[in-house]
Amino acid sequence: MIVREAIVMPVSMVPEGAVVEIVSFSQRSGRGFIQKLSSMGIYPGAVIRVLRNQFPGPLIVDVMGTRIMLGHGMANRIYVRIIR
Amino acid sequence: MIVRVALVGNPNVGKSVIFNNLTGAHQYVGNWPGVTVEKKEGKCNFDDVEIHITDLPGIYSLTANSIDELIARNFIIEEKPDVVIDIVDGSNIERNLYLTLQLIELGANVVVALNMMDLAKEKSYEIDIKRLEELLGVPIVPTVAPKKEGMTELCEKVATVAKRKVSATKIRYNSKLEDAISKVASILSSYPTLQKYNMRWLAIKILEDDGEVIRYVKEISENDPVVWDKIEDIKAELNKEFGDVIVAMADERYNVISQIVSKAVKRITAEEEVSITDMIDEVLTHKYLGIPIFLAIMWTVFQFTFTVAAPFSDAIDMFFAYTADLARSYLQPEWFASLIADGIISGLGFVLIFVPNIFMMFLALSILEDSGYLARVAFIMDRIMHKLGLHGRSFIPMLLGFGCNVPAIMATRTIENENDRLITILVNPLMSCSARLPVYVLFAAVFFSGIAGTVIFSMYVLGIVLAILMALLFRKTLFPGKPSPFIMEMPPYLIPTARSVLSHMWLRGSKFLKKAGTFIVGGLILIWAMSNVPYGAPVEETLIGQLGHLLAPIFAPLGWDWRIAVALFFGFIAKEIVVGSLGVLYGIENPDPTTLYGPLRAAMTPLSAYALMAFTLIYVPCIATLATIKQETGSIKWTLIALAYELILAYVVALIIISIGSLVGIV
Repeated sequence: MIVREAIVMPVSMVPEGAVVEIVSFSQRSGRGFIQKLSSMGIYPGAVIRVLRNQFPGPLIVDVMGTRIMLGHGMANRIYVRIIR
Repeated sequence: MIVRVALVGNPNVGKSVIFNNLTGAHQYVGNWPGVTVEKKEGKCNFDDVEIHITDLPGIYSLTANSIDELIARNFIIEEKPDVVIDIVDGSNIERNLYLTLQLIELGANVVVALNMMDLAKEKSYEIDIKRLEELLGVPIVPTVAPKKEGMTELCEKVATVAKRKVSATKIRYNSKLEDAISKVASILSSYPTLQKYNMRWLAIKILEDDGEVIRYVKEISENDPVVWDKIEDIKAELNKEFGDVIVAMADERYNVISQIVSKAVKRITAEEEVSITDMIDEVLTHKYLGIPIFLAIMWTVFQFTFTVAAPFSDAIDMFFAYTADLARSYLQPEWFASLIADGIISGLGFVLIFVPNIFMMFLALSILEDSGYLARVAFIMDRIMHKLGLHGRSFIPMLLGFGCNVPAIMATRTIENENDRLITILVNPLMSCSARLPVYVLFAAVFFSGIAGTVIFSMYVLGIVLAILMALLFRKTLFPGKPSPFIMEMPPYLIPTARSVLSHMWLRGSKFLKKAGTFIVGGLILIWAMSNVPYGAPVEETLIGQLGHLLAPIFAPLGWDWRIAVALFFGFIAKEIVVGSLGVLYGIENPDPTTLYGPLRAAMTPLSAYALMAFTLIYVPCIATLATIKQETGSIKWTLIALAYELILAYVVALIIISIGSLVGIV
């Protein structure tokens, strides 16, 4: 059963302005990928805001007050839930 | 007393400003052994303490996933600096403390420099420094780097804690993780060789699947299956509990951080207002506006570069013409006067005329970089670069290539993926650097007056188009695969300080001056000597004439005579020499290039001149660029590949221009 608010999607599909909670990383993510993202504040449970998302280009997200650019391929592998 | 200090911190926290504040002029720049990451060292004195500072690369964590992180980590573990200054952005404490926590795990003697305190206040953060010190268990010094606030206090703190023994950290993770950590640590403690490391840290790293640490410990334990079975069991148990230990560790660190921050940091206004940076980004990174704005900015940069530089260039031109005349009238014997005046002064004059252009170009690029705009350029170009099999970060070195390919190739160091970096290096010489400009300017003025600007612009476009095609070709053939994932922090927009912009400009520009002083002068003396042996003979019968006639058949299909062949041959030393040596070859004494117009018009057609401009753009990078390619790739093979493909490409493109031109009836 899918609850509307709880739909999990790649962050690359999130519209600009949305605040999302990170749920998980794609299964094929390696150790380096996870550690790199974690060290920059992107880890399951973190809450980030999507500032720029112009499909199919890269994204800019606000993570704890810093702007971080994510390549589109990377954004496809980060699963999130929109919280507002 | 000597105290050895390492400076560490996230990118964009003001680390290099603090390093400069502390060390002033006492700096030494080198490379870390075996890698091309820059190593900066310096020292300062505080009372009777001599503080030796090593600036470590800007990093987000201490994993083994990137060269930068490994360098920082190995330095702290192996060199054991007395103190590690961890620079933390006070306006972005949570993310920054992630690295701090790892330094504490490592057992380093940490002093936190809580920087950007002015910005933190502006964002209405209230930080209880005392409380934060207690919770983290390390001393903290608040600083504002650009205003040099807190620097003395920082030195004082470093001096007082330098010789203390670091007590075990009180920071604890959740009990399941701690259980596993202490189990692994107790297994490891049976190996005396490991005693010199922090056991808790080794245990954490093993649980986190850290390749380097595991390889090392396996070596020490001689891969004892009993030990590793036990460790694997502990790991498996954790994985069952948390899903993935790596994620669980990261999550737990942030958990601890947010508990600490909630106790020591208060935010008075809770709601985030739209910052100026966000407002500017709204426009500059816009899907449709971004690229036109970028092109407009670049056009302005070129205009600025040439307008501001022009009067300086004229002054330099006059100065060299005057000194050459002086040398000719006063020096004896005649051959010596000729060497000084025609060989060195006039030749160098031809080249140094472009110094103002080059410095202005670097000034403009430094302003773009320091203001934070260059990071946005990487963002807006990412989509296009992706189609070429590269990502946005590769675009910045390409842009710098318009100034000079040497610093541009060095700038590829920020590209983490080795294949992406090699492609970016290999195509970089196709970005038309300022040294090629004199050649364009001369031939455009001689053969294309009226449309000179457009013709020169077409060279830049040709360079970009070829770079794109070659990047695609390299990606398809030599480096199959996709570009690596791209993640980059976007610094907030800042008004660049004059000091930092000027020092950037000088650092890059002085490399050009060095090149002018060594390669170019050397090349010019060689050309002069070869064109004067035997002395007094007509140029055609001298050594250089013979060399020219030897090379001429190769260039005959392109419609160039032996003089051009020689000029191109020596242009390998540095492309500026092409113009300078044409002056020598046509026996022109005055460095004023207009005197070359007549002889050149007689020697070739506009079509073959255009082909020559294209050839100059593409063929062999100069010696300095080749040396940089060798240094940065660490491989003769790639250097030779760069050399070979560009020679072939240049010849083919020039031939195509000539053929198509004659087909459609242009001569």
